[in-house]
Amino acid sequence: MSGRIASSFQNLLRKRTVERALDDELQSAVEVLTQEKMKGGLSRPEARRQALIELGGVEQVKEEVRAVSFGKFLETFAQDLRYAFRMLRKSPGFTAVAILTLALGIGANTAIFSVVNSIVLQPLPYAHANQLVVISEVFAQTPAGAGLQSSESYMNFLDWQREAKSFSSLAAYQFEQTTLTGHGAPTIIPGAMTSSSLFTTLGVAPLLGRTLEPQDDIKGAARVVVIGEGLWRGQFGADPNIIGKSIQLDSQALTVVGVMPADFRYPDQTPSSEFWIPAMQSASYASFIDQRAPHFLIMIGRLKPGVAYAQAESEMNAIHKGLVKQYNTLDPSEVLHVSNLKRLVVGDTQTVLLILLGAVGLVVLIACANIANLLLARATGRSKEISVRLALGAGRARIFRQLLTESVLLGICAGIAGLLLAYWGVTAIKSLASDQLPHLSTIQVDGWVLAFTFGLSVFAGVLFGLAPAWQSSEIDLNEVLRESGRGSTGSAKRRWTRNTLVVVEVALAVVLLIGSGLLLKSFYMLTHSSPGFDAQNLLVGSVDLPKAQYVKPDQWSAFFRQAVDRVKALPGVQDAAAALPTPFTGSNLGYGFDIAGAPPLPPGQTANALAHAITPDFFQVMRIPLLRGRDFSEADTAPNAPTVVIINEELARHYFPNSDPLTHSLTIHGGRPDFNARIIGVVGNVKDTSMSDPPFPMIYLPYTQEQWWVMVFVLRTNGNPSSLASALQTQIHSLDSSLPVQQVRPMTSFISDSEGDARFRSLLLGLFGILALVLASVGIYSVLAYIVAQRTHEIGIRMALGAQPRDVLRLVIGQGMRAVLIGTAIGLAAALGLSQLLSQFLYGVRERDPLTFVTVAVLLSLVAFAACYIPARRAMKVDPMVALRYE
Amino acid sequence: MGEERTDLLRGTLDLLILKALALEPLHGVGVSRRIAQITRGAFHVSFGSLFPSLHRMEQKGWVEAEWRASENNRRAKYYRLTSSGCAQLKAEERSWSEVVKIMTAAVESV
Repeated sequence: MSGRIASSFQNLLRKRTVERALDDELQSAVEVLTQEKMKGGLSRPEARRQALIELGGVEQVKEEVRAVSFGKFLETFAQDLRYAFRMLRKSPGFTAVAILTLALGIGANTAIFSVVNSIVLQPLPYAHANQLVVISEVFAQTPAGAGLQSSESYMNFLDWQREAKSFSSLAAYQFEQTTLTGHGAPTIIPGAMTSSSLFTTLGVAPLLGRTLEPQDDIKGAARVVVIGEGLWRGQFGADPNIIGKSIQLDSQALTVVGVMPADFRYPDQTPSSEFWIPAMQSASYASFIDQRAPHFLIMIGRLKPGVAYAQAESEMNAIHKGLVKQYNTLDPSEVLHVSNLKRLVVGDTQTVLLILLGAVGLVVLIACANIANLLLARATGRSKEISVRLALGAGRARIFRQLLTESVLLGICAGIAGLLLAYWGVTAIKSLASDQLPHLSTIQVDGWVLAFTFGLSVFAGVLFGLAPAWQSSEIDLNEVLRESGRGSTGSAKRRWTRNTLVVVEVALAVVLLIGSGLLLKSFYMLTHSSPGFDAQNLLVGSVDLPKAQYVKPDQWSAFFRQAVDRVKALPGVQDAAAALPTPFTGSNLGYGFDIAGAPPLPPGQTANALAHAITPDFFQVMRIPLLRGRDFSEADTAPNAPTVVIINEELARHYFPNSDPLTHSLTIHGGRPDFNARIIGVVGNVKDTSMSDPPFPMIYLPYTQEQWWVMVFVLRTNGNPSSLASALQTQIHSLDSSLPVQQVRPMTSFISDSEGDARFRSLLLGLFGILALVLASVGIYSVLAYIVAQRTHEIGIRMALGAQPRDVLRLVIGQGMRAVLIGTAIGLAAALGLSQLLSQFLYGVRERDPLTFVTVAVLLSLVAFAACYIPARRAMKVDPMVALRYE
Repeated sequence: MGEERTDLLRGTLDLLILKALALEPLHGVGVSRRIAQITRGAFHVSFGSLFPSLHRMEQKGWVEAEWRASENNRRAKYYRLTSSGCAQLKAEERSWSEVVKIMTAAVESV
């Protein structure tokens, strides 16, 4: 038996064995010839030499023989292919079902793979991308890989740039937005403030003009900007003479020196970056760019060829130690990490994508098990044809190979159909995940994806064809030809194979369903938990004051005071306030603090809180409960009022477990010199950037004491908040007609955006889970339906002998459900192990959540029961007379 | 044994190999020696043509191969005529006689 299988494989994957046999044959020929010549009196070496001459070169002979084998291989293959096509055409129903089932699996795989390919597998689109690194400064205890996007001060960056020898180039930048005026309506443009070295670090060239150059980094240099091709074409009509022209960004005139091609969009953001301004020239940075303490730039670099990450890391840390000694404003507990730039760009989407790829892989396996079952059923129908061919002298290996050609052809047809599905799938993923996936526009079906799909199709074809082809090629000739195979319904081995396939299918489906169940439950918990404030009927919109016009902080406060009053007066607005930042709008400020009068914390430990500057009615507008003490009053916003702070519940719980926080003051280390503020109230916790955030300490300061040129308006509206968007804009314009209001949207839409990742993964995994459930139930149904059809005769006898319909029902369902229950048990056990992979994406649900496990097991059993019941009913209705007369 | 001779042989090589194997199973070198023998040394088949032909015949099912010990106790691959090989030999012999008859008549008619 095993010898036969071995010879089949030899036929398929013949190369190695055949080569060795050929080699042996020729060596033995050389030996025979040598012996012959030695008999003629030659010495052995001479005899051997002449033998080789006579043979005419072992390699040449081999080559000739190989040509014969290959020609034969092709000929047989073409024959099999023709035959396979004919067979598939002959049973269009089977072919359609098989191709469709597998195409769904392959299509889903190809779609996910094209995303994985462009995001995870392909290098970043820059020359020698493996040399590009991100340098992050984190607390020593931060786990590696976390906090990649930490920031650095410009002054420190300059020191590193000058001293570090591991890098051929270092750059520092930060995402920014500016307002373009003077070209129609004011437009918000995303881009970056950067060191000029960004372009040399990434190794990119401009489309027009030049990139930023070192002379642009000098304080007081001419104000210049490099713009993106999108902006150039969109706003400036692709003006060929744009270089040297002046444009208005944030009310400042900047000279355009270059245009970058559209495929350069670093730093990646949505919408894409369209301007690059030297950080040194930025008006927003002017007040702190020459200080060491404010960390606000992301640092990246290009390693010199051959320099290892660890080597660069230790050099950076050595320089940092020197800086810490020199400047007491730097934190000695911080260390520098050097990691691949790709990890910054791709982030944790990698894990999600790989999990999704694994999940669709399971879907394909289930589809394969289904088709293997269909093929097994068909093989029984074809056993006569195959027996005849065997009787006529076809080798079993030959039959095996031909059946396998048929299933691989089936796989490839499904692959082609799957590619079409994948094409739609990729489009769907793009629109679904527009904010969740980095450099999305590069996702496409390319050569790698085609190769993947082809490989997967062939692999699937072999996988589902192997068992049926094996079993068919070992048919017992006599039994089939004597036509006595009726009662035995194929061998016990064959039935065992079918049951095993059902077990495997069910187990895989259970694993997938539990994965998707856990994610769906997390998503439900996320969307149904409270953010700590009332997000309904809340409109948000931010205003960024140009610092060229609004020079002094008191001008900012005055503007926002006036603006909030006007907005409050709008019809349809119940109440309004302004704050920076507001929850879910995508930024936060981390401040250090000490409890005044308390012993200082041990070195290396700092107390941190997220800081918010707010106008007095903020808590009322947001409906954040005031738990203790009082809210800010108008008196707190008066000039020279004593500094006060409101803390949240988490800060109170963590830092004042045994005392009344209202009797304390905090020393706050923020963006200005340290100051003391008396705690006057405690408010409830709110979520900050995501519903899955754990509670974090927060402090709230009056906007007149913590002054910002940007504030976010929050409006509590009577009806649909979106309907007030233009009214908000009009009110702001009545104060300053050049000011756009940015990101005007209902709060609920910001919250929903923040859950985009969770929605993306739970939706896709849920979809795959449903697909798995459907495929598995179809599989169970088809196996049982087939078995019932095969056993009609036997059932007829049983009923004739007095078996009740109920006994028959129990017999059939029992047989099906045994496989289902074994599969469910295996699936549950596997899921217990695998659910840990999902732990970082779970919220409000444990990775071994009993409810999810039980629900999935019950759901699958019920569906499987239904799939068993239909054929079982058919069996129950067997008429003994008809069944016995049947053949 | 000039090159021109080998060309002539190409069509008849299969026939010669089948004929050589008709008596007893032989290994590759043996086939070559037997052909030399039955053609009285007139034809010397190069191994570069012999081995591919043997493999082709094996695939067509005219001969089957088996490893066994050679005359001086070395392992060698022996080829044996199958029943379809015997039939093929008969057919080729017949068509060869035809060709000889026709060609002789044609040559002598002048």
